[in-house]
Order: sequence, then structure tokens, then C-alpha cells
Amino acid sequence: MLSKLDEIKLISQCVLVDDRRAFGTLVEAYQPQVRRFLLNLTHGDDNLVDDLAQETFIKAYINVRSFKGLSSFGTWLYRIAYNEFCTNQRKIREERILTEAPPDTASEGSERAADAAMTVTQALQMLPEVERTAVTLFYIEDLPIKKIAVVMQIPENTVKSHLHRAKDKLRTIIGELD
Amino acid sequence: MDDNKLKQLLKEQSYKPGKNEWFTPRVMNKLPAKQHSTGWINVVVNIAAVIACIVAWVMMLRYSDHQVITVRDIMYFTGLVGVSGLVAWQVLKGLVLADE
Repeated sequence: MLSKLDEIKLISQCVLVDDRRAFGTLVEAYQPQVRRFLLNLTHGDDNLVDDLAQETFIKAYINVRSFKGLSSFGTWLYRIAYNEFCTNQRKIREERILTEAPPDTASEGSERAADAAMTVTQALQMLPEVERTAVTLFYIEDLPIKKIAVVMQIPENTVKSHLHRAKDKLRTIIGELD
Repeated sequence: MDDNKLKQLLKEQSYKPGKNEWFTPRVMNKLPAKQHSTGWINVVVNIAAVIACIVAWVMMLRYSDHQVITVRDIMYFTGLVGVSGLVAWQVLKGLVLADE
């Protein structure tokens, strides 16, 4: 993991002299957490995660001059990754409407909660997108509410209510399993 | 189930990315072409070179003795023509690249 000073140095090199080696170091340092975040949002779809994560870093490189340092570089990357994920989900929804395919059972599968093989992660996949994102960032990525609000571009109180609702749902689902 | 237990379960059972040593090289290969961020340096250097050439030509024409041409005058003239040509080529190249 990079120190704050190293991170600032590498970002400055990218902004001032378009240093690709410095950007490569940033990619190497941040790719595990960006990929893990996307992996938990996409139900473990490796190929989709690689595409979204690549697009995240390419967008970060193109827009690195607009990074003002108000949040940490990691939070900024999560935000780009979340935007990429939302754009992808929107495309999938539009395609589904065009082809009139049946909706994904994962989003409405509360009946599946009774499945004995259900794990907490599978229960997580049953939550709506926003609640799943909030839970992933809070419990798995250890981000504070303030940073989650920056990533999801919603007020802190909305993050809190998403988390509260998601926790209740997860407890219910997991309680059925116990 | 308390918060800590939920956190522990989620951490344990969440998806974990496998090691992907090709990820970074693939991203680096897909980055867009480098921006010409040093363009302004070239412009400043070109302007300075043109000014230096003009000064050298003025000095040569003003201070050389036109009655007697020495080997030194010939060498100075040849060198100045070469340097001026090089500067002119650099300036033209810069203008063509700026148009592209």
C-alpha cells in the first residue's frame, strides 16, 4: 500500500509530466481494491469486472488533472468505478427492455432466501443496487459514511438509511437460514 | 446478529479477486496517446534560437571587414548558415506538428 506522500508524488508526476510509469504504480497499488469492490457488485463476474476496472483506470488517467484532492485518490477511483458499474447496469436494463427478456431473478429472489445453501454474500446479491453498494463499501471496503456519500453522490443521511434497511433485510434473510 | 458479526461474515464470504498480473500491463496498453505537454517549451526554445540567429547575422554583417575575407570569416559564415538552416527546419517542423 502506498503512503499518502508517495500517492501525492505519483499523482503530481502524472499531472505535470504525464508520467505513465507513475500511473502504472498507482494502477498496481489500487487495482485489487477496485476489482474487489466491482466483484462484489457484479455477483463475481470476473470478465465484467476486468472490463469495468480497466475502464475505471483509463477514465482516471484521462481525468487525472480534474482530481482536486478533496477526497483520497482511492475514494475518487471508487466513485469512477461505481459510475462505470451504474452505466453498465443501465445498458443491460435497456437491452433487456429491447429484447423483452425476463428480469434477473437475483434482484427479486427473496424466495431463494430459504435455500439452505444460501450464504451471506448470496443474500447480499438480493439487495437492490444502492443498498448492496452501501453495504459493500461500509462492511467490505471499510469506508466511513462520509466517503460512501462521496462515492455514491448522495447525502450522508441517505447512505445511513440505505445501510439501515439493508442490515434489516440481511438479518431477516440470514435469520431464516439459522 | 450484531454489526460486528455481520461485518465478519461479509468479510469472510465476500468475493476476493484473484491475482491478475496482466491487469496493469493491459491498462497501460489501452491508455490514450500521450499529450504534447512540453509544447510550450519547444515554442520558447524556437523563439530564442531565431532571436540568437538574427543577432549573429547582424553582428557578422556589421562587424566583419568586407575588404578582406579571412578563413575565420568563411568558417563563421558557414557555421551560421548551418545553424540558421537547422533552426528554420525546427521551426517549420513545429508549425507542421501544431497544424496536425
